[in-house]
Amino acid sequence: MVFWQKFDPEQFDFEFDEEELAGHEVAVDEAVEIIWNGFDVHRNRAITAATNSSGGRTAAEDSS
Amino acid sequence: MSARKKLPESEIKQKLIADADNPAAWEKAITVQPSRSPRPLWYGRSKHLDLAAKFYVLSVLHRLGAEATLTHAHPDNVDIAAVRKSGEAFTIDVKTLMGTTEWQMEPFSARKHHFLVFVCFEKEWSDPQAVPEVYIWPSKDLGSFVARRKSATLSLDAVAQKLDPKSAWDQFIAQPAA
Repeated sequence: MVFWQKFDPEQFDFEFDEEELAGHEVAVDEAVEIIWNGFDVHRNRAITAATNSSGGRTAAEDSS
Repeated sequence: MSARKKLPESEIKQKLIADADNPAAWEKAITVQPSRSPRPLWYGRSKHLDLAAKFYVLSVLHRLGAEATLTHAHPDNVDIAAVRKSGEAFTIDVKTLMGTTEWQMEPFSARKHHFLVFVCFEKEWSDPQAVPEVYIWPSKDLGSFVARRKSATLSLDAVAQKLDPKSAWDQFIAQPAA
């Protein structure tokens, strides 16, 4: 599970589904800017409970 | 030790979308601060690749003798304007694809003297020896072709089986002066 309070994107390898992003008219560079410029994470209670993973959404998604 | 379920990604995605408008489904926000780390090395590649695609098409046009130039921030998806002779101009919308020949369709203008050129790079696009696959179609022909389709993606190879993906270049060949 990601420890979001100490999250540093440099510590991760990112692999984007470019076709999925293109479907939402989002460029890879724009996705990078979201990750690097700070964001809010809202973890989904049910998914977190079921998987102990961090299925969630970002504030950027909230505002879209 | 507790056993945790491994949910399929598609199931997680469906659940997240279903909960989007239910505030009770989400934990309190955790704020992630902006990072001071540099962007990844591959950052910005799409802009370079787009420009490489446009210049590739320009190079082909000049090999054919067309007077062609890049446009600047044209509002109607015109990336290149080419003059064949006085009073006769063509416009081109260049689409860049990487590692695929499946195009995520987006609206485009279908009109006379307007072409779409798809420049498809391999995944290892930075290899200077790698030559992209290029497809060119008059926009009206392509418009008629996609009008009958409902899919959000378009296989360029499938189009190429119905519409010649090269012959439109002939329209750009400059005629020698009399």
